[in-house]
Amino acid sequence: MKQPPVTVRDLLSSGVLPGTRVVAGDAGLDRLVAEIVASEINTGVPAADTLTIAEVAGPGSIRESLHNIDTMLRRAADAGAAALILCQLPAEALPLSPVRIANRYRVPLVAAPTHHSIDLAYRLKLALHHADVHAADKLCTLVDRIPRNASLGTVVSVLADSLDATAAALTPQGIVMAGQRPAVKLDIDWHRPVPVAEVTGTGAYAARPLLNPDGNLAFWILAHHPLGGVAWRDLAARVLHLAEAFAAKWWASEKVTAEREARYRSRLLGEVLAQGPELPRRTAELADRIGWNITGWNTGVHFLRLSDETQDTASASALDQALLAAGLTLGPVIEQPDGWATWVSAGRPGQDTTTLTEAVTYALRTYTAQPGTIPVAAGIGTSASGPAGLASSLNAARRAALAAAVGGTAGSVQHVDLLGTDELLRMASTSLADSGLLAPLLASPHGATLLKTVEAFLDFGTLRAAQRLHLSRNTVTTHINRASRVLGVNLGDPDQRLLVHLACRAHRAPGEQS
Amino acid sequence: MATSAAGAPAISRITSGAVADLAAGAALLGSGGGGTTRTSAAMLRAELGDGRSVPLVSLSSLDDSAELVCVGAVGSPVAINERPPHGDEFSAAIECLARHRGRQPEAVVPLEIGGLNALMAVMAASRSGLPLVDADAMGRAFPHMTQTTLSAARIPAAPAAVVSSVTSSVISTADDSRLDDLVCSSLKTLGGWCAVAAYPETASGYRGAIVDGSIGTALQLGSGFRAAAGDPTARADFLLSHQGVLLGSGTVLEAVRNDLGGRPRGAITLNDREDPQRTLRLVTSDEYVCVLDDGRLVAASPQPICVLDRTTWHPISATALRVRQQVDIVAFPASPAWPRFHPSVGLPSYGLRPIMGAL
Repeated sequence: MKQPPVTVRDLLSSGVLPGTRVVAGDAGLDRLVAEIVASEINTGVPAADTLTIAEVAGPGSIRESLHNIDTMLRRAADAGAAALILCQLPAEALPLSPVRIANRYRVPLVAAPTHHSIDLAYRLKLALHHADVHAADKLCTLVDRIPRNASLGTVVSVLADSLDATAAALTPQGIVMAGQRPAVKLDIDWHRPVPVAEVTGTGAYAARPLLNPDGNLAFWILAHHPLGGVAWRDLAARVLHLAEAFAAKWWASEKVTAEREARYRSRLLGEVLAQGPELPRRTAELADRIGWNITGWNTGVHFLRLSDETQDTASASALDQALLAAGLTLGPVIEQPDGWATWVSAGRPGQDTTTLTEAVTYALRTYTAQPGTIPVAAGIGTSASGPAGLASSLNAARRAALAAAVGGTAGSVQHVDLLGTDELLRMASTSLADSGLLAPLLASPHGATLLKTVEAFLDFGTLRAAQRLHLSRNTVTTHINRASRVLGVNLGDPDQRLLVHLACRAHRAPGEQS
Repeated sequence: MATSAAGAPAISRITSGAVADLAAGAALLGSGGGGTTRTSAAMLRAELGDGRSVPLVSLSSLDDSAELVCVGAVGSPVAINERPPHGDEFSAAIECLARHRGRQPEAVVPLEIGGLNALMAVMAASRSGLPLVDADAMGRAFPHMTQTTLSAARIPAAPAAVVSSVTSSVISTADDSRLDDLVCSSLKTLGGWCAVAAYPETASGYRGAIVDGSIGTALQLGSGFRAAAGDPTARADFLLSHQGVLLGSGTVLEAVRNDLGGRPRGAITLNDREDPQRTLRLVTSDEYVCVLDDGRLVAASPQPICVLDRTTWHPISATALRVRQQVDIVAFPASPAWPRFHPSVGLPSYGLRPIMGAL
């Protein structure tokens, strides 16, 4: 089979020249190569269209031969040679003159400090004359080097090594999941899951999307080579196709594990929040086993999602990292229906409200600055003791997050202690019905009955509410206590009582009588 | 380069009036090395004061049996400038060698026409009362005392007399390179430099093995150069009349200097004034070794290669050339006394790999 024409660029990006550098003569990278020749630096006679490989050090010192590089380059230019590769020569050892000559005559000059000419010539000959064998070798090497159950990091690392390129796994939002983002901007529509491979002015790249079982885009794997040409692009597309299977396997496994862990944590937090001050022994053991500290003084932090996007692990991970970077040692970031929840535990009461608010604000600024993250607002609850305190603090935090979200600005943070009447009234006037304040109550068992009791209690007081609802006073009191716990509010507090009262009114259908 | 006639020299005596031309010519023939001629010229001018002069004779005018000896200073030019000779070192070296051989020389031959040794040879002839032969053993400057046309013609350098402020001795060895090693390795003890009298041989032995007429050449070169340096319009004619070639005119872009086997090495990169993409490269050691023009060898040792300040045409030594200096690079033909591609003066003699298809 006739081989396609091979350029200097193709050979330099073929992966057989790791650690080499094009020192000069970039304008000649698209010259065609007909043959590979290894020769002596001072006696070699390059021929037309040959890529000449010369050993600079040889039996003597590099300094004995530096002037021979100029003459060899000129002979190469006069003969119409394709390129000159200098072995055993650190690029920084080159004086200015060969760089200028290579640029003037457009002869690519490549420094290969760790290679030997004969070995390099053999490998380049294989890449030149047997491109299919070379490509097959790359694919086989990739399969051999990726272990079973490889992580995404391993897959991307092997990918980078195989293609001698920059490789990465990126979310559709551009967040790096593994590897290193290419230094140049790639012209890819990240939300259109179609494999792409292009040669551009800044090299060549290939990218493949990985899809979730539901057909939605999960993430991309990609590679970029600054010297890549058509041959590299085609090889990269094939290598990425193969690597996709390994990445997809990792993704499926990761997703199952993540969902299982998230479900487990959410369920455990639900159990903790549903209990009273004393946790059942089994729940306490489970919480302790996964490292949750909930017996001290807890301050809840709630991150409320501001968009309808599905929560993803990348955003959770980005949030986790932003909190760590802000110096916050919080508990686990646990997925909630409307966002994420976490808390700070301390051995004694008196959490510094201002410091915590500033730290969370800083963390959210970092998080929001990352492209593609889900926009959130945060609320911080009041410090309270034990599991029951955690429950009330998290509920308060959620309420504060709702207040912070009213403005609709991503990254807003509100501490519940700082919520004033004005804030509450502003919330009420904005859209209390959509605020979700009553959502936990409505979602709980017998939520509608409890809501009706709360409304009557707030409108008429305990005695008249019992009369109107045909309940005993004790039942009304029990309903109010349970509703307060579910909502995480203290109806004895005038501000909170007013907020719930307004929310009940807003929730009520127009024209409906109390 | 126009050499003086192989017969009688253009002048018969060297007087103080000829010192300036001789110093200028020797500086050009120094090829960027050989030491500055300024101090030695001042010394020679004083030596030839009060109407004193040194007879200049041609090699052909001497009897076949006439004993000749090469004289020069060997060592660091910096040391010679810091501790200048008083002049008697050279006559002492000639006397020392004469005693060892039992034969008095009849004339003195300059060991090296490039740099200060051209002037020191006149000083030696003056102090020893002998005539100076219009010739030299190198045709330019070289770092080793045995890089001579005489050694190339297999005339032994030894026995050689070495005189310094601390010793006066004769070295006998059959191997010229060993003599050079012995002298070079003793230089530190000798005070950085020494006067040497070597290559004792008859005039018939010297004939055909030496750069003939080189004193006259240096005088003509120096005279023309001094006129051309002061008159830029006369420079082209000067080069033409001495078979000189302007290899390039440009600005120094980079000067990389290091050390190879104890000798200095340098790679000087220049652009060309009229074609800034064109690259000139000077390979240097103690002198200018070769010139590459866009990777093509255009001049190499033993050709005299000079780098001149573009404005003043003042010669710039190989160790003084600096980035941003604007210079002209000039080369003259190698002396025909040097066999073509002789290994003792080519790139390998400077520890450099040869260039295929060298001049």
